[in-house]
Amino acid sequence: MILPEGAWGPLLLSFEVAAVGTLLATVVGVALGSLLATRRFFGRDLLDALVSAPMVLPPTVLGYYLLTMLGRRSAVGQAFESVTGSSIVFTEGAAVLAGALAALPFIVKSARAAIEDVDPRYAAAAATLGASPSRVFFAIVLPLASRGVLAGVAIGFARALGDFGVTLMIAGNLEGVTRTASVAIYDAVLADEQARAAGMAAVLSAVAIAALYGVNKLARRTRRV
Amino acid sequence: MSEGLSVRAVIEGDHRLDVDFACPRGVSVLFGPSGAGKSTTLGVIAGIVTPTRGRVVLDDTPLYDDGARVAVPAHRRRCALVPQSLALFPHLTALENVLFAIPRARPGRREEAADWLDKLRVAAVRDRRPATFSGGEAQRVALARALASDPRAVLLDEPFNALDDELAQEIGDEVVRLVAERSMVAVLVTHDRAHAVRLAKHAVLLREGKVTAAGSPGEVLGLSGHA
Repeated sequence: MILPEGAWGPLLLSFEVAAVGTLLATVVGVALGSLLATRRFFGRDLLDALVSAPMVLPPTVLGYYLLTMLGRRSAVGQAFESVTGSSIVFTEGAAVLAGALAALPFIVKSARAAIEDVDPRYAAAAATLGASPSRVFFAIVLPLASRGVLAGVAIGFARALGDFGVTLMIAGNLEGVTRTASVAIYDAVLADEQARAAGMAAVLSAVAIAALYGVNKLARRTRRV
Repeated sequence: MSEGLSVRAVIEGDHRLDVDFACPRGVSVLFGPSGAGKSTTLGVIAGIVTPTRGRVVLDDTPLYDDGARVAVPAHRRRCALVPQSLALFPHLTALENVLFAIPRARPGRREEAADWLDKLRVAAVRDRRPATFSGGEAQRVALARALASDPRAVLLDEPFNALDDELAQEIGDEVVRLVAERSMVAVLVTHDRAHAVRLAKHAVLLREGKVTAAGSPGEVLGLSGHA
């Protein structure tokens, strides 16, 4: 596909950041979704609300919290800098974190619903056959919940790919480092480079629609099973 | 009782249960009307239902004892359950279902799993998934899977109800033989009095969550007045 000069760089960075962020969010999200689906504990509803908050909070508020928690003046930021020699914020890692945070609620919610849908009699029977809880989870529950989890991952990836506010707040707008496509589109519009903005917008839209189309296909196949 | 299974369990609340009975090695039958607490009792033995209080001992090993704070988790009890739903894993073939029950470190486990399907006469479905099984095939695969896990006790909830009489008799005899050969305890829930009398050497009659009789199947089932 031919795009105006300077469009592919931010797009490729976006895909990389969204892929790594979604991977991170998948590991954390499936663990949290499983915890929420299978355990009853004090604070369960609060944890669910906290995990879901990025879906409804203004990105600037989330970005502000992250800057406060991870910025150079924060304890975590200083500890990280003393170990690695570089800060967390305004790096590609921060952009990954922003993407992961954007994807996380979708993955947790889908994983939780999919795991709750797995008939608990499978896990019970598996346990009586000698399977440890981790084997029951990875060999039985997760494969049976995989379509729902994958649907969440696809939506999460689309959401991470399009993150703008949190990325700008904690990763900034550094060309080749943190200037993802969403941020670059904003720049292009401000600079009146309509062709560049339109090209990147078209690619992001196509990928997001393809992800949602895939989710619908998965959901339909799940209902048939 | 040192050998076999002894169960004392009380569950309060909606699914009330207050049972106290023992089963020797070999096949015992739990008999009673629907809602008598038979499946719940199997769940207590298997470790997937936690009683309010009680004690479950298998061959001198306490599996559950609220007084002594013992609660061996289900996966360490070696009490394989074949629930009424069978719970065959739908994403695995018959062979993979049986393989799941055999420890991964054991050499020759694939051949062993195939052998179990052969013993239960379902070798023909080894590469098929449960959605394609007939009721009888599914029950036999579930039995093969339970026996393959090398259990000390097998807990069978209506395991023969989808089999025709002749096959139920054949498979029942095979189960009795395997249970005796391995010196296991088998607890069988059934509504079929003829089956119970033929297969079991001990019977426990449950009604409304309580044991109303226990002893030889002939005696106990003669008292039951149903089935």
